[in-house]
Amino acid sequence: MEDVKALQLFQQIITTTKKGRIKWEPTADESEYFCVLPGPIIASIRSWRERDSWGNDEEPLALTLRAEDKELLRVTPDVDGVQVAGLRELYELARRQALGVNAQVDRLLGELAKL
Amino acid sequence: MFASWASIGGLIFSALAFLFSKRASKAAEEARDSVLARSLGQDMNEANRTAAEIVRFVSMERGDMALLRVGELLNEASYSMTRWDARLPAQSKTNLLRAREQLLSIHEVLTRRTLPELSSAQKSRLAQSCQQVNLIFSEEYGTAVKAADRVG
Repeated sequence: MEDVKALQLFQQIITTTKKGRIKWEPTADESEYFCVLPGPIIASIRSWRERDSWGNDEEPLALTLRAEDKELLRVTPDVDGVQVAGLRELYELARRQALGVNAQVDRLLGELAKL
Repeated sequence: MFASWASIGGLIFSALAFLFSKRASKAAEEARDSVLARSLGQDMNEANRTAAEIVRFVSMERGDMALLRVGELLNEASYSMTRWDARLPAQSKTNLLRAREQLLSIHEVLTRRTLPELSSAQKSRLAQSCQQVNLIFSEEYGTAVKAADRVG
């Protein structure tokens, strides 16, 4: 499916996340993270488990944008130019930022260096 | 001669009347702002109490009661965001949106499974999310009270 706007937005969100300018937050669901973007627009990235028609377990991902409780856009690998790897990268970046993983790893590295 | 004194007196009287009406209108405006600020504070206080109840119910593993309060707080948050849209600072609007997003995820988790069915990691994540909502409403309550104090 061709959706130039969705692709552009996805790329912009991933770039801005890498720069650390988006504050992702954890939710009550272990596999969902969200952030408030200007607008205000809520962006959330979620992964879930499902079984395909061959009986194989899959873990699809989707980035959703909502405003005033209405879904504006859903970015999945169905959008031309959006790869599963790209969505997985954004999910991992959001997770790490939301849970403060990098800061904790840095602290641990510091402690390990003292041993 | 008398006419010119009368006109000067009239002028002074008009100036005084203008001054008093200005002061009265300013006082009325301040009183209105004060009532509105207190009312915002009351709304945030109630939301803060409901959020604290959610934390308590989740820690007591009373998912059914927590779910009821989450529904109530979602309504309260939506009401506050609409009711106080013109008066809330940008940061407060963002905070209320963040709280609503957390509440939606709490609602989803509590609807999908009962609390005893959750793993300890899932319970911990749920508890953190509830605590985050409570924290946001506590801060917003504080901000509203501070604004009310400033207004008078």
